[in-house]
Amino acid sequence: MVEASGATVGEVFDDLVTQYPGLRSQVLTDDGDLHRHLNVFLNDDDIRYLGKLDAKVNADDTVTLMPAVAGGSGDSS
Amino acid sequence: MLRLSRDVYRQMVGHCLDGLPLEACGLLGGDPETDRASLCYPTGNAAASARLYTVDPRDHLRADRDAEGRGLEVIGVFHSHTHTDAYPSPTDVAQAPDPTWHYVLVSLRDVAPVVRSYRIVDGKIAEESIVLE
Repeated sequence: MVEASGATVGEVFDDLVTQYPGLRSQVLTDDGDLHRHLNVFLNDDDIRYLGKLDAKVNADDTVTLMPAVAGGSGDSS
Repeated sequence: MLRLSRDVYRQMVGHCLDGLPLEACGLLGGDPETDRASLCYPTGNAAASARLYTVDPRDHLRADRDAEGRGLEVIGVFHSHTHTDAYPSPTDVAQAPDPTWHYVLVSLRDVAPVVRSYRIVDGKIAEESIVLE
């Protein structure tokens, strides 16, 4: 668990990748959007439904980053 | 090696059978030091497909928090293949999110489910034994 600052999830991510530059490519695309293989929760809510990187963050909120878990046979038969 | 409690095994296979005709998925919680999965977290398949699975993100969050609250971790994922072998597909390999996890495949192609476990690291698949405890 780490601490980061920002008024929005996007600002929190900017602070996070400033602290940990190696995380940038895992969290954000080259365009600065959220990586689609990453699920991000603001407390209990998926930020996809809260405005994504524009979601407002309050002090003591928890932002949880989790990789998407997916796959499948892909079999077309 | 993956150690599975019998309860986890039954819950896992049961969830996969219940998911037919679609692929079902879930997470395994346990101790990464001993590779023992003592918790089964059946999750929703957000892809709702007979060929693809996506662990419902909210179910993943719940499982992660529950495991952490018990001093454990999510140590793997299971999913079913409804018509193909219990072997990771190219899709499974390409999207494997964590090289430390166990990847369990449950094939429902035949009447009797076939369950196998693998490690997937840097695109390489290595089968591992499953020990029921």
